[in-house]
Amino acid sequence: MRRLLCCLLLLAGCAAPQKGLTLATWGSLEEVETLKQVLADFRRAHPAVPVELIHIPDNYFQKLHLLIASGNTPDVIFTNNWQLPVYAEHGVLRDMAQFQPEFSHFHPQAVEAMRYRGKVYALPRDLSNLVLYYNQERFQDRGVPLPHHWRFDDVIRYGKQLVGAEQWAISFDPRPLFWLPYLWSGGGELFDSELTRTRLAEPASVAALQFYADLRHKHHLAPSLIEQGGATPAQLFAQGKLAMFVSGRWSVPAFQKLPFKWGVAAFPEGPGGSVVDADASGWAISRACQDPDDAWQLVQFLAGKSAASRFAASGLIIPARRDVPFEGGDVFVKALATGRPIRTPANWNEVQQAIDKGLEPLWRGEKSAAEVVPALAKRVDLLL
Amino acid sequence: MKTVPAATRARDDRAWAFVLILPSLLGIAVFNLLPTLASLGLSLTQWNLLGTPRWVGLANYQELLADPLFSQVMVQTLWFVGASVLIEIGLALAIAVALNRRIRLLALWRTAYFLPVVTSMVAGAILWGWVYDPHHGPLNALIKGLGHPGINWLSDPAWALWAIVFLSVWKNLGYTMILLLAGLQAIPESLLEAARTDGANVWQTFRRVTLPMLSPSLFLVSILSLIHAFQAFDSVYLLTQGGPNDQTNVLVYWLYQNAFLYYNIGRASALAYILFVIILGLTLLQWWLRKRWVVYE
Repeated sequence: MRRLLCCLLLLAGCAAPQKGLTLATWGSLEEVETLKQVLADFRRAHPAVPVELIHIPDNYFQKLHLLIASGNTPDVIFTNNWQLPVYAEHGVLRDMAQFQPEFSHFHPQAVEAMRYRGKVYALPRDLSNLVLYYNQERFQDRGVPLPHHWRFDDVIRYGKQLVGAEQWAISFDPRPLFWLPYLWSGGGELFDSELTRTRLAEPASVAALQFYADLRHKHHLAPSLIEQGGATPAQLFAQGKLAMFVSGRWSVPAFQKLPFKWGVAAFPEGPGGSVVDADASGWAISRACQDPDDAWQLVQFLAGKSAASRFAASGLIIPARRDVPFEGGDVFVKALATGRPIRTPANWNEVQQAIDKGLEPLWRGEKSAAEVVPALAKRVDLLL
Repeated sequence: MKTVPAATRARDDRAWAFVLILPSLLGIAVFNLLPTLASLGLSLTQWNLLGTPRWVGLANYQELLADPLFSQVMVQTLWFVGASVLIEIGLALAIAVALNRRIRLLALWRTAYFLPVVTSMVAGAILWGWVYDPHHGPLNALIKGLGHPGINWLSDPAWALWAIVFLSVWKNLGYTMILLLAGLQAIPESLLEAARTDGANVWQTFRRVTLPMLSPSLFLVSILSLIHAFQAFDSVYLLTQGGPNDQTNVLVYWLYQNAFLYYNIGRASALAYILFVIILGLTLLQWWLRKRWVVYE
């Protein structure tokens, strides 16, 4: 009887909750492999702080919402600047100021991207922007100069020479990430600085959106939805059907094995310059975390020089740290100089859906921007 | 041995009965009843999963009724339900009648028609996504072969909902057909012989003898198909995501959008209860109509 009691007590001891941290992140398998190596380094440096990795490869923010709603908020959360306001606004994340972080090693845009209402909520890992990938062989075949330092007119002029049977000049993606460069480079803007009003109804914005839609329906330089069939723009570029493809750093590893020579150039220059996004992703600490000091150790390590070097070495990202060497090319770094982080309101999900729906007739070529934008702007203003 | 009085025995039996069904009862209470009631409560609040729910009374319902998208979604759902149920029952009846003879390989035919039912809807939807492809899909190849320029099944607002209807019919046909076939095979041969002896032709036999005798099965099948059609979600989620231009946005898909894309849990719960009331209403209506058209021997 006594032996039984002793065994039960021992078991009870094993069942007690262990001190440890949970870390939630998205990412491809390769990304997670790199992260696991970083976490192994962390374990060697801090053996008293076990870290459990929660890898959510799909529908990351949906699942994160559900984890929070069910009371299982992860201690350290990987987030990006698009979704940070949603969580910061509802008190899910801790203000980093309590840990007195050092920002001098990071690109200022990266830190700005992690700021909401004046407070910084995360330490950045990477900066992400958009560049123009081009199929070098196609340009050479058609005798078109490579698209460096192009303006919007050059896109139209040379684009017409790049079109062929089942071949288009440039990619088209209706998602906001991909039309914001056209909007900004066209001199337009999405929200005002206070995020209380939309500036889509301004003439420059309307013209910029119309220019993007015209690529598809007026000049036929980009494939229409039907012409695209079931393929994604990335797949079309890889198949050699697109001469130019607007995308970010993340395409580089996937494109290493392409059968043709390709390069990157800066996004074309419009009336407002060549302006693309400067988004960032980083690690935040949740308010529900029971061991904030341990979590801070982890976040510092993840954003530290050795971890950042590992991430940058994989080729997938542009490191947010200035002291980590980046061999990805000047084009990405130069684009950072004029890049803007997208500023989103706390109800961004609903606003984005309203914008997507409102602009859909424009992308399908059924209506012009001037017809579609006024009603959309009213709807968005109501939501803001 | 002392004899136990009858009243005590009965009480003991009842106590044991209760204990034995307790696991099932607890399961249903925790996983069915509680969430259903919680959902009713949530429909009276505003909640975005991140904070705490805020009481708003009937505001969610009022907002829904005033939202033009709600009427659009309702109309489209009713269209979808009507079309898919009618086509499904009609086709299933025709096939069941055709299979209700001593034909060769009957088991093979039944299996072939039933196969889509047991396939996962996800696999079926992905397969049909390829079938509907405007450039490389076999459906458009067939249409183009007949001279028509081809239809953009999933991106044409006029055809997208029909595309979902066809997928839904293909998926559930086998189930309906099996039930009707069983009903047909239960019709006493004597009745059919009597009709033949009286000089009825095939169509008259069908209308006057077969259909009335089949009416209990038809009643069952119509309720099941209706309820199932109202809950259509996977096909829309996988093929069209409610588009193009919200043309294939049906009730359950819009519920999903509200709950997990806009994080508006109160509104989504209100939608769920509206769906509940509609299905309940339709089922009660069918039960009332039963007395008028279902024949029992």
